[in-house]
Amino acid sequence: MVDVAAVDETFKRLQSHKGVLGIIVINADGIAIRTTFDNDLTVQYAALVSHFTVKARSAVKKLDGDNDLKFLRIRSKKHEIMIAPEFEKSHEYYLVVVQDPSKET
Amino acid sequence: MSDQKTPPKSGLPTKPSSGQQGPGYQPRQSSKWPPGAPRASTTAQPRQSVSGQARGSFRKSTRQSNRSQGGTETERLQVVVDGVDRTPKPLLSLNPTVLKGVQNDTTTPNSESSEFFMDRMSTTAFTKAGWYSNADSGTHTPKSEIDYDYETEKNRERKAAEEMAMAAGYGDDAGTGAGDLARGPPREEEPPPTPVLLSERDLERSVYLTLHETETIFIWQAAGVTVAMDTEEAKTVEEANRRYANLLHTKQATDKYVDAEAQTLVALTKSRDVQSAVLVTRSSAVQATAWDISDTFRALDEAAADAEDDPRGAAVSASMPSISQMAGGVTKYTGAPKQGGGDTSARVTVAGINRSSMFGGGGTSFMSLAAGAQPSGHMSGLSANLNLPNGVPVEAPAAAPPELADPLQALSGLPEALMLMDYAINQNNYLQQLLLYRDIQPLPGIRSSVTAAMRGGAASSGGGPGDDADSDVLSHTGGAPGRDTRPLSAAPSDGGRSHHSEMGRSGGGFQQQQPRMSNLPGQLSRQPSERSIPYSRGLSLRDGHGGGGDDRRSARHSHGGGGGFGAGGGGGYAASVAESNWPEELLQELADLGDDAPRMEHLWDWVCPMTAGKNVACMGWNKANPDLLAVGYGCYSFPSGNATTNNTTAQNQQQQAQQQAAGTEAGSSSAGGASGGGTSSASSGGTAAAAAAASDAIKGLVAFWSLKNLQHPLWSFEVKAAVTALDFSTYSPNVLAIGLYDGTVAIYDIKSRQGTPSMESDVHSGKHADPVWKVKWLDHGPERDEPLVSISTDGRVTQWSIAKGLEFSDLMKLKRMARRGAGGPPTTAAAAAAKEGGGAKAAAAVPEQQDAFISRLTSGMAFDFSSRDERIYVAATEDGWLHKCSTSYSEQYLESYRGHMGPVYQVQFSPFKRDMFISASGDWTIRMWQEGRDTPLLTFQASTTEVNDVQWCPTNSTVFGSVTASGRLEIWDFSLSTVKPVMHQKTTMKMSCLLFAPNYPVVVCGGEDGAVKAYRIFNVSHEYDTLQEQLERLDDCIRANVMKSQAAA
Repeated sequence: MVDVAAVDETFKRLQSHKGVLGIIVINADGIAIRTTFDNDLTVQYAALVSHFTVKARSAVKKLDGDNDLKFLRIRSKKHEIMIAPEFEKSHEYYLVVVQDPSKET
Repeated sequence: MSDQKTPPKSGLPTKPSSGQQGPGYQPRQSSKWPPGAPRASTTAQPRQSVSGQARGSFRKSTRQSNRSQGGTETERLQVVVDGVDRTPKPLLSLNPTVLKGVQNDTTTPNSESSEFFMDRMSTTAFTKAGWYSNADSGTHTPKSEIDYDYETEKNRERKAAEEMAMAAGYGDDAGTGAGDLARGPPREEEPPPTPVLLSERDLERSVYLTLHETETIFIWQAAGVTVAMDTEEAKTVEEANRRYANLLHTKQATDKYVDAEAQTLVALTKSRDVQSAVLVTRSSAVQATAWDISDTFRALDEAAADAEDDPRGAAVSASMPSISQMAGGVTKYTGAPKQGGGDTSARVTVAGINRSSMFGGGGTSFMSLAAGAQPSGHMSGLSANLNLPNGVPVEAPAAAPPELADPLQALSGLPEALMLMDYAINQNNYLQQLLLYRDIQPLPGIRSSVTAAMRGGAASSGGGPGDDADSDVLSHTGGAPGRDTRPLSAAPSDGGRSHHSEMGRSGGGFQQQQPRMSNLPGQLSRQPSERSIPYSRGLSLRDGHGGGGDDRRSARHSHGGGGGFGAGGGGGYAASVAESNWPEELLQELADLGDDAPRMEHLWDWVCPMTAGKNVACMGWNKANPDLLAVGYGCYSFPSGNATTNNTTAQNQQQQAQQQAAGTEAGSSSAGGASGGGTSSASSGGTAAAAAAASDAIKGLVAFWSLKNLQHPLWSFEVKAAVTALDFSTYSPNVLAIGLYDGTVAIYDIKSRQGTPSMESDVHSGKHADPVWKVKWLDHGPERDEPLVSISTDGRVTQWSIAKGLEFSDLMKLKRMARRGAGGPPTTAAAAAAKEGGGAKAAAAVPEQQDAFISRLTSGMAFDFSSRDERIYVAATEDGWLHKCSTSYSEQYLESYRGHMGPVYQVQFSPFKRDMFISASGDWTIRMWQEGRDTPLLTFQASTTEVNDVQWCPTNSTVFGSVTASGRLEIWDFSLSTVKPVMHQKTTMKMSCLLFAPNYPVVVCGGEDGAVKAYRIFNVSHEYDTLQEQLERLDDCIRANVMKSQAAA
């Protein structure tokens, strides 16, 4: 059981970081259970990121069966999309943070 | 005998087959059956020709057939030769079973037209079954008939029974239309009359069958004959027997076997293919939450209610799955019919569904619905509603639905993932600073391109174009694309434009370093160029090497000249020191260094709301992971109270103030007691709220910061009192020792992440009576124990062993020394001086007027062990003395060093010259000492505030850093100056501690605002020098400066 209050606090802290545009937690069904984006963007991220992550994981696992994907960073021209996936069946989720690293302090 | 009797059997005549068929067949056989029909009875006909007995009956039968055939038009030719029927057999033998169906078709309706089997065969059946001729050759007709005979034997018997019953049953109906059929022989090929003719009455009618015994038929009979051998007949009989045996013998070889092929009929089956439309199944899935479904069905109910006046709505609702269907986990729903005219495009907005699911929280479920379901027109007309694929409009939730169990609770790995994400974001945000910290210099081109890309608009800030620089700058700021099409690496080719570069134009491939936090560049730029410094040198160096990369440039020398600085002059000089008043020589030297001048750059603050406002009291790097910094927090200043004399100074200064104030009448330990009593009286005297605030403030905190996360500690725990000292163990990197303001020494295992100490000293186990000001693990090598040593205001230097619990032994009880000199208060009594141990030689040497001690113990503030001899340590005391002690002698000092006028807050041996140590004191000075000399080698003073901490730089033998109570972080390099720090950083808050990073050119310091500030220092470290070079530099500096100070004196 996760301490939701602590998690929410961490969410706030992450959100307060410079350049962080939004945070999404996507469950195994591809449903966002926490988000700071608006609906459309959330849905887009949820759909695209989970597919991408599964692909990336399969790449990792095919290279080495014992290996697994733990973290994923996508550096794009504008953003950096960071994905921390968890593939354990009982609590599968994807934590997605989108950051604009070009924002200066 | 049987062998002798069987051969004749084949030649024996047989009765017509009616005998085998039973009596019931006899009349029919004679009257109806055509002679050529492949009747079972005819099978024996070729052989009947040799039998004489049955000829009559056979001919008779034939005649009958002829006679009956004569009546018909299709007369059959019969050839009878010698009374034997030689009528040619048909070339084709037809299996009646195959023709059965044909006969049914043709004969059943009118039996007259199909009276003769051959007729039927030769006409309809023959042509219809034309393919049959290929399958059967006429030459083998008899054989095939025999085959047929056998294979239909069973059928025949069964059908015979049926026909008998039939004949009996319809015997009375001779007059009916079926009479002819009933009277005639129902051919066995013929099916029984259709059941249509049967009525109820027929079924109930009694049927009488009369069974008769068949008359005995002898086919062959031969009685055995026995003849006596002596009679005449015997010869004939023997002759007969011999002939017979001969016959048998010859017969054996004359048996004629004909190798003839035979074909059996293949049971013809017809596999027929059935054509039908391909079953197309489609399934589509949507997600729906529990409340989604609930709302759906509520809407359904409403729709059903509306259906009274809207027939189409009724149809829709009728087409909807029932609630039980849906709730039962319908996985495939195909029952939704399409609405005829009202079909519109199914408004399946996935976004809407997801949105609702998102709000819904926990109980999400999947439903698979048929794709064919479409909403009816009037339903989908409600555009504001969410349309599920099954066409049910659902009211969008006006408010967030009631929160079910938070789905986050199930995600057990989420906190770790969030932590990871925190690290990643931090690394992004502080990438430049972290690189600086790690002493990694990105290539200038890369850096400029990165920063340019980051800034977006000025992505094309490559090499300056060949034209005007001003417009170039404009183009950068304006972001006009198309002008700057040069590659990023293009360098300004015009030498005359280097001035622009120097003036800080940030464009171009020569990306300059970020603005320095140090004041030195500013100072330099304010200097007029009359110094004839090759000013452009530094800048060109900067351009070429990217600034900080020049750390190991050993352009610095020990400058022997520049005398006239009153080094070690004590407080008189310091009062006049102002920041703007830099010694000209130092400035010149710094200017000579150009860009190699030491400077400092602020990297970040380790601070979070939890630690903000708490005084940073102590810090310690983890020995195994030098990126991990443990920080102890504790507020020393009390909000109010009569016991505290000054709440703006640090508690150790309060302590000192109390000590000094009470120095005349009370010893240090009693002063500590007074302090404790004062605290309690403040608590009791103030309001409850104030007391609570005070107790909160007293609570300490230990936080573990790392480079991974600069904005949140990896972990932290609270302790009962302000933390005043901490240290990581070397060989058990997870073991942290902390000293508390209340005198407790506690050992924490930080791997367990428990906020409770694994060991803790209490009053029975040697707990200090006063604040513990320093704890340190002694490194005696990996084989030996790693003891912990602590020092406290109560005057004890205590060694702790954690092997079996927390055991203590006092290394030293710091005894008060007679104070000498004009600066100090006259607190020492001459009588007491005699009582001092052997270490008090200085006191004994200079007898002065001194008061008697009330307490014999003085307060320890700091200590440091020598790396030269693990038993030797120097203890700093509150009364300004430094005592060199040995762990072997707990009673007396080896040496004592006088000079400090105030409490000595820190002492540290040089990492290079192992008999040299440095001390920081509340008398505003930093002093450098050498073993064997009881007076300081050098004295440094740059400000008029207490120096709270001093640390040697681990990579440069002539550099150390200090922090002051006025908030200055100072980095000294006494090879450059003994008067002013080569760089300093001014903050508004009081600084209390300082640490150099062990592996990087970074210094961290902390103060009363709770922030641990990290600074990158440039051009200071000499980590590539050998120890010998370091020592030489150090010795040169010392020699020059000591000579200087002596000359000044």
